[in-house]
Amino acid sequence: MKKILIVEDEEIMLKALVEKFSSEGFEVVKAIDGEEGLKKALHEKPDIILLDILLPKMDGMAVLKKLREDAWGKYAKVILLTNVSDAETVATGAEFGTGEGEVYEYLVKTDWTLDEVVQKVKNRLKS
Amino acid sequence: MKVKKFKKPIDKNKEQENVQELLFKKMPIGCILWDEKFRAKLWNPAAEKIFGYSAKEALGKHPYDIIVPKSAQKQVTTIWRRLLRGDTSANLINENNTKKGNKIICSWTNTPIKKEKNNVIGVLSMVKNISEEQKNKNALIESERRLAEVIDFLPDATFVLNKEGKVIAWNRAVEKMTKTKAKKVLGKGDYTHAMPFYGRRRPVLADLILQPELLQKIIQNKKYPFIKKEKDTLVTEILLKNVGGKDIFVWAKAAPLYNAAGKVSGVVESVRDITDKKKLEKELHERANRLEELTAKDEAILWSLGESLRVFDITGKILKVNRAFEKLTGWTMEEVLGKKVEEILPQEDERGKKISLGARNVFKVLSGKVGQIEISGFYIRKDKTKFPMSGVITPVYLKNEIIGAIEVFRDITKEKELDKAKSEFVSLASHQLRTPLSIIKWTLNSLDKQDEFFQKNQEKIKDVYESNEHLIALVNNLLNITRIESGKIIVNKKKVGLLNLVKEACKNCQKQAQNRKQKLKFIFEGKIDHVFVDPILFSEAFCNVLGNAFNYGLDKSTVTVKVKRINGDYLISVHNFGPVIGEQEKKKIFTKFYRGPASPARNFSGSGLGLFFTKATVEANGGKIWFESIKNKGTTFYFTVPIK
Repeated sequence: MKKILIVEDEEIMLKALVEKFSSEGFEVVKAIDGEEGLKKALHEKPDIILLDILLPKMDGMAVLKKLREDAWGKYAKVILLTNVSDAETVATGAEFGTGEGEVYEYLVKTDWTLDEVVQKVKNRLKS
Repeated sequence: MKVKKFKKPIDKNKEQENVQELLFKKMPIGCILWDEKFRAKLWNPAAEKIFGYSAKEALGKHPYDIIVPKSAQKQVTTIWRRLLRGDTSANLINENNTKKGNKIICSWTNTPIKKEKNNVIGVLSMVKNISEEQKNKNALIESERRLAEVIDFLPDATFVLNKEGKVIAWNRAVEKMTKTKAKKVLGKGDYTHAMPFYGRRRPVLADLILQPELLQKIIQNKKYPFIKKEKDTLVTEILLKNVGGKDIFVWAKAAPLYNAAGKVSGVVESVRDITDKKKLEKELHERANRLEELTAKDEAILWSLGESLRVFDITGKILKVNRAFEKLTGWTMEEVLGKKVEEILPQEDERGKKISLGARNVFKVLSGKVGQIEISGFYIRKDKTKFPMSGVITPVYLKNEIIGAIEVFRDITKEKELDKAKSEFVSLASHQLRTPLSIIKWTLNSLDKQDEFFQKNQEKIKDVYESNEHLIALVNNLLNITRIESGKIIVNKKKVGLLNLVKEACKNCQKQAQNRKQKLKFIFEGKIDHVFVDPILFSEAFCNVLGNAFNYGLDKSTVTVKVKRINGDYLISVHNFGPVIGEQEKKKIFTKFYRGPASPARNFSGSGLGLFFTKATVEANGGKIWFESIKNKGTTFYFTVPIK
């Protein structure tokens, strides 16, 4: 069973994601802010992380940066979830994706259905 | 002589003869005595010298055999006969031959020698070689003729007087000006040449050169202050009444002609009609006066104008700036006066790239290639800070010729800031909107499709879902617009197959077609290859146009997509049959939030942003977009996609 960490502060969104991934047979770990997300990521070492960008306490980009400093976290699979599709945000993200570390992907939430997100995650796990 | 004395005793007669002979021999001019048969009887040394024949050779000879050429014989014969008949003397000048065969001009004075009863027994001819004199005289005539010829072609009205004040040249231009032919004045004196100019005989400028005392008097009594002496020439400007039928203002100049000895041998006078020039001068003068008045007013207005102003001359040098300019740029009028455009306020474009001199708009305007030109970008102040500006440069004309340019511009920092704030607000608001929209979307996604409630309300849930999708599209469009406006539109150009791109985009739109039984037709002309565009932006732009074609097309009508290659571009056209786009709409169709009034599609609700976005993306890809809408022929949207 694959373990997925979902970091999302919007409760309803989180609920929908958790239900979906549970029903798809994932072991789901959830976090509702950046700090909790980073802590759980390093502790649980999930197979993949769905990371929202706009988060309380520590935003998604900061979480990603910290994660890439960790030996395990450097190669952790991350898909960023966002409502921001501006060049700057993506560019900042790109900095953490390059170099030795694992590249990241980002999804604009409204552009994808839940089924498509699941498919995306499954594809990423296979790679 | 002494020897002779001793040899022969000399009688009185003999002595007389000897004196005569001596005289004859020493005469400096040629003396020839002809007998009644016109044979040379005496031939003195001077004659020997003239003709080269010695007395021995000439004596007993008829002149026709030695010195009179055939051409002169007829004339000589006539004179000979007249002398024999009793004429007392006859002078003539004719051409003669020398022994060496040279032709010379001789002056002859012939006197018959008579015995009693008027019996002519011979003719005494005194002859002088006047070839040199003649040559000089001919040369003078020739030079006068040449002078007249040269003068004839002078563009200025010109005439020449000789030393005696007689007209020796009167050129075509003066004929034209005075309507007086040369033959009416040539060779005439007594101030005839003044008639065409003054209507009476009087000294003119040229005569004053010939009459220095008169000139002196005139200068002294100051009666004619308009006559100016410049070295040896005289110049004047004067109004002449009724010259060749009209009053003209003339400029005239008279200059002496000198002979080889440096003496005044004549005078040449040129007269130029400067009536038009004078009029222009007067007009200019008046205009300058008027301008001065106006300028004082204008200056006050321009100086206190709220917008920055810069005036350039034709070479791009700064002539004037106003107070607003000084305040905005930090440069003062004194500092910038006469400076070249590039020295003050270097210009940068939106991306901070310096605009090179050749591209500077001022020069475009001054060259006359463009009329008024709108400018935007950034100017760099004296203190090296920069500000965004917007303005216009307009050419300044004087009598259809560009003499300079005026630039009016203003600092648009505040507008830019406001615009940016607005964009940021829209962007932020849109992002905020996305959160609830994605929650609705994913919550609806997560509904259990096997559930009884879901089964029962499938249609309604679908309606909610689709409305949500519509909102999402709207927000996406809004974001796109803020991105276009803030220059954040990112173009990721790639080499892609155009055919696939078009077909793929059409697939997404076809659902719409099926709803209203519309058909989609493709026409691909020639080989369709790769293009270099951002595929996502291209698809969005194309889908917008195609979506409009279906939405505004009639039920069961056909929408035609045509792709063909034109020069360095592909031309894509989308044609439909639907309502005509009116003249009023044509101007607004590519502006944001504009929606066409007549949409036959029932459930169609556009954002009014499609074509605005399409135009921006087509242009960002390096293409152009336009359309045609003709009654009964339908509407066609065209856009180009560059190959490279």
